Amino acid sequence: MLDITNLKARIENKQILNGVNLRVNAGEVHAIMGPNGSGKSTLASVLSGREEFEVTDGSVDFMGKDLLEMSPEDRAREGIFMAFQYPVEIPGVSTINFMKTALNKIREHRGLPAMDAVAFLKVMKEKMKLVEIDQSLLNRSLNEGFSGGEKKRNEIFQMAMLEPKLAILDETDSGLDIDALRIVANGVNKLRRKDNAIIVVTHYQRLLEHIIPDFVHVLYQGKIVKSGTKDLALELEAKGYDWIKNELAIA
Amino acid sequence: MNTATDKKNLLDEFYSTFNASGHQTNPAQRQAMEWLMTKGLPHLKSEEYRFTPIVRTLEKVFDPSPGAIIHKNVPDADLSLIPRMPCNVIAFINGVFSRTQSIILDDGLHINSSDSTLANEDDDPFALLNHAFTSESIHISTNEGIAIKHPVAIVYYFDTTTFAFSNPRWSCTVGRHSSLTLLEYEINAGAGKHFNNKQTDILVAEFGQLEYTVIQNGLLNTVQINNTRVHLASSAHTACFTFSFDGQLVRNNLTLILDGEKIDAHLYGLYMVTKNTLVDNHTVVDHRKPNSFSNQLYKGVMDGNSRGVFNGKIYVRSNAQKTNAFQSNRNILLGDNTTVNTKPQLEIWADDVKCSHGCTTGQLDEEALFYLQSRGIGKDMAKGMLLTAFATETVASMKHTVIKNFLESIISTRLQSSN
Ligand SMILES: Nc1ncnc2c1ncn2[C@@H]1O[C@H](COP(=O)(O)OP(=O)(O)OP(=O)(O)O)[C@@H](O)[C@H]1O
Ligand SMILES: [Mg+2]
Repeated sequence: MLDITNLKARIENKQILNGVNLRVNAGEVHAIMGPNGSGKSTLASVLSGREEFEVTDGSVDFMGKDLLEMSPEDRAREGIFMAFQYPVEIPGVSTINFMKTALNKIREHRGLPAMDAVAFLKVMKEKMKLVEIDQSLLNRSLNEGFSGGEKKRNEIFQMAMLEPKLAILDETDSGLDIDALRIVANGVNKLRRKDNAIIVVTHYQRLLEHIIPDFVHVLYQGKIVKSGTKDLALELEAKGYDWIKNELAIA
Repeated sequence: MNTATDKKNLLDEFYSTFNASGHQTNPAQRQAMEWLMTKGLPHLKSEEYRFTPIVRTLEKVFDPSPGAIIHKNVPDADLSLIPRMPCNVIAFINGVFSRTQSIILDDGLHINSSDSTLANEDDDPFALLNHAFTSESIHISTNEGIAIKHPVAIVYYFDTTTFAFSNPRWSCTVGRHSSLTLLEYEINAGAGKHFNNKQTDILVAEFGQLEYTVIQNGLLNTVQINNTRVHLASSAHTACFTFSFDGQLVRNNLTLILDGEKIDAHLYGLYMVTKNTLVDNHTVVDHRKPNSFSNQLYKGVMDGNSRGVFNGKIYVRSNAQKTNAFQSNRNILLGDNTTVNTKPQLEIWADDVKCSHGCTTGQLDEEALFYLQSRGIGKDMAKGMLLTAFATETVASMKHTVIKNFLESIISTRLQSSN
């Protein structure tokens, strides 16, 4: 589904990604961990098409298409979704209204007819249940005055609405209380299918107890320096990152 | 004193036009003209007109020998701005009040005309100019304790092929415990340029409610001066909305005098312009008594080579304790050649008050734009959504839903894209 080869990217002359290689197949869940500032969010941003980052080398193939050639909106329409680490607040635009527009743009791209208000509401109610989000929140301006946890929940609600092929969840667990973490994780699990894939960026094993990954990768200094199974996350939780940094220093 | 030092000397042109039109036979008009001659017109160094080259602009368009103005009969439908919205109508045809074209639908609403209003020596030069060229003042009033059902539309209808110089003047009294909706706009049916220099005085009596909306749209290459003063008595409630969508040069002077307690005053403005349009909003909110509230929200969306000016004065007089006065001016610059000059001016003599002001001028929020794009919404459409959300905040609290919907549709039509 996703094939990242030797991806290098920089911002304002600062090299951040230094040759990322990653292959994600349909049906898989990959966790990406790594110390602060190692480039996890940058990778997510580059995949979703943020223009501030300049790709200097490498390629990204998404379902047979060159992802890096596409505008952010076309990536979304092709099935990429990023849950932001820091969702922005947009005054005057309600989640409901903007989701309706977004969903219909994506449907249009996939050759599906636009959803009318009634059908949309039905789908929305369904997805609201999935992440246990209240409609009053969705009627309000997007993320404006939302608590940290509400913002994250809203991201997963949007993911549920748009049914992406590849979802990238950037620290969706941070800011969630214990119950919310379980709810959000359950929501994500219910969205798991054979034909979609998820990349979870996280610092904590906690989330991975709920969303069990097939692979765990460590991103460090803009490179994936170690990959393993879910046991790697446990090891990191116990030992931190120093042993990996040391291994690298020796090598 | 300010005097214009320009070659063509606009003031002299005003003076000779004044004499040629026979206005000097009316003492009140002659007095206004004399005061204006002494005072002179503002030039660019005049503080109040620093960013607004009104004299220079007028010199280019002003034609001292305008063709004969024909006051023909205009079909009622041509005077309406919002289709299928019944209105009381106060019609000015090519600058002159027309009783036959005016329409009164509601009981308790009165229209009178008088010739006796006098200017003040210390008035703004353009207010003096208005008084010099127009003797007739139209007075709109309501009974006490009545809600006037339909809006009163003040319509400036122009259909000249040559330059028109228009100095309409009206006043309005909203009676005690009464409520009124005013809607003011221009209709331009002719190709002639014009200078519309209007003057308004409004009084909202105790417990009166006024919603007053000015829509400046379809102005083409016209110059507008919109001088409005609103006096508010205790417990009056008013919301003034000023929407500027085009024109060559638009200057709105809106002064609210809060001469009572427990007054609620709201001022909203949106200037959403392109090309070479210049829109200048000067507001004054003068708190003279304790315990009142005022809030100003002015927003700009600037494209092309357009320029915006916002100058907001708040006065809190020494006995106006417990005043709450807020002001905010926010601008989005879409074009590289656009500018906004904004200047808040707070003068506070009372000590127990809550006042704040803020202004921002910048580009569209890139983070927000990317967020919407990342959900599959095209860049242009996402821009449109953000700008529409930004702009419609200025109409959000409007009570008259038909006017509100009309404005929302102008805004979204102008800003939205379906890609
Ligand atoms: N807009 C920017 N301008 C300059 N440097 C940036 C910018 N965005 C990110 N960086 C830098 O790139 C590096 C990687 O940042 P990134 O946000 O990708 O890290 P991260 O792995 O997601 O960290 P965290 O775990 O703290 O979220 C950091 O050193 C950061 O300061
Ligand atoms: Mg990050």
